[in-house]
Amino acid sequence: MKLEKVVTRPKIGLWVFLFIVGLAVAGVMATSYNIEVVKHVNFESVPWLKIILGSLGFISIISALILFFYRLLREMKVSQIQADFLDRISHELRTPLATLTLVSDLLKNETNSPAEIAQLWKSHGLELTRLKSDVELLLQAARLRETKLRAELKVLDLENWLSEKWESFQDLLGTGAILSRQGSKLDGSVQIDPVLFELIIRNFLDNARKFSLGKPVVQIRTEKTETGWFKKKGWRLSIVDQGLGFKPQNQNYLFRRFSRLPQRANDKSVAIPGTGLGLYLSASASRAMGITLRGVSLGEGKGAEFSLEGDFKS
Amino acid sequence: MKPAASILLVEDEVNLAETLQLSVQKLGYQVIWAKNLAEARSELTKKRFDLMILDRNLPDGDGIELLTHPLRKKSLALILSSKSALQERVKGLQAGADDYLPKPFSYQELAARLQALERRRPEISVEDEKVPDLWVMNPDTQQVLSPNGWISLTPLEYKFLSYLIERRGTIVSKDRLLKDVWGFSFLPKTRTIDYLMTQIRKRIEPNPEAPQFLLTIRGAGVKFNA
Repeated sequence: MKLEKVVTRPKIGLWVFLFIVGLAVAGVMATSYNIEVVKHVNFESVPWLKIILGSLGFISIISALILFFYRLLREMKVSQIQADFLDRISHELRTPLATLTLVSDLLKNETNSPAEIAQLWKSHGLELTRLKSDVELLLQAARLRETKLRAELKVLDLENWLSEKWESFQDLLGTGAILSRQGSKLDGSVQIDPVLFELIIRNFLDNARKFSLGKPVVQIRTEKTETGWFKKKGWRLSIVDQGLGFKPQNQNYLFRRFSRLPQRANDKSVAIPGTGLGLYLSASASRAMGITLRGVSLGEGKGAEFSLEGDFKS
Repeated sequence: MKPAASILLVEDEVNLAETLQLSVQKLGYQVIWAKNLAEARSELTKKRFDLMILDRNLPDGDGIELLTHPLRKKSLALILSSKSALQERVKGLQAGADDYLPKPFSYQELAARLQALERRRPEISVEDEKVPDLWVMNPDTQQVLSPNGWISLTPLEYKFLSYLIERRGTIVSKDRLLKDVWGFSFLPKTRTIDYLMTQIRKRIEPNPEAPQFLLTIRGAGVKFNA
């Protein structure tokens, strides 16, 4: 993963910085020369060029200091983002690895009952899927930095696609989670990239799982829409959870890379899971497919709703 | 011979928690699983545990918060965390953990660490086994023992809460509260009670967003449920 590329800025800033520092040094020299001149010579006889150079030098020093502190603060922010990201990614990868290691060790145990063996294999499958999707997410995000995400659009029946994937979505939410379907059937063909579309849905469901305090309760709502002057027929698929939610004013932060929502003021230690890449990648994927993506929440603790909207293929 | 140790497992990741539960049961321990801090605090009010296995990245906080819980009472604590950096391990141990095992770990190592902790298990007196009564009020320090530990209250909060605790289980109307706690002879329309309850809930309830003790009964009043 090319983390350096993600967090660094073009080198031009360094040259601008060096130029201003050079100007500042020249300014200091000119100013000190100026002072010497002013000490001994009548002010009116001092050439204006020296006065201007002195003033420029002073302005340059101030500018250099401002730029220096600006860069310092930015570097501090970047290293904070880096540390935070590494901490989160470490958690996201180590947890499934811990389960897989433990499951492998337990499977070697000959005293396992058939029910225990079944449970262990189920955990193994789920964690492997989770690990694979986390790694895929990271790779996609790294690739996205290099090139624009390209969608390979295919015409398919969204209703059938949902039915095929339903079981894997339930597995993703984990044991005891409730996944239900509401709304009208989406009869008709749509043009989407099934891989990217699945990545988005899995990402929403994974967020619903991560941000639920108890067992996740998630609804997939589907409805037909009519938009624009010509009442173009479209579809909307929403994923509604009852998790931590977010403040409506933080809605715009959600789809930025490495975005972390501000923690609740009275809840200093709340651990917000995730890598900060999932929604960024989902937004890029939906743009590539020409689909509208929205995320809304009524507020903290009131759950969130992420919806995808597109047109039916006529 | 000591009886099988009881373990409180605090882990939010369902698959890992279920696998850990199975692993620990195979080693002969009794396990209770809590998915978050709120559930763990609630479990601590029900019984004393010999060992606690704590995760740190929990949805409602850091597992090390439980290390200073007043109801921990001689429980040994093992932290299992993906926070494996030296300073994080030191932080966990300094906060009161007896051991720190970074994720991922093998079953053999987990078993060895638990057995090592088991050898250090202190003798527990009958007094230690007792779980103290919650909602004991201390008028000298203006504190109450809640599932979150001893909580300091302001004089008004103390008066309000002790009034409700004395009448636990019964619904008290807001008018009655304004008269008895605030001493109002007239009954103004005010949100004072709601505001005060929100403030108290934040500190005494394991999950203030879903209160289980200090309840508002719509159209009737307020009830302390414990």
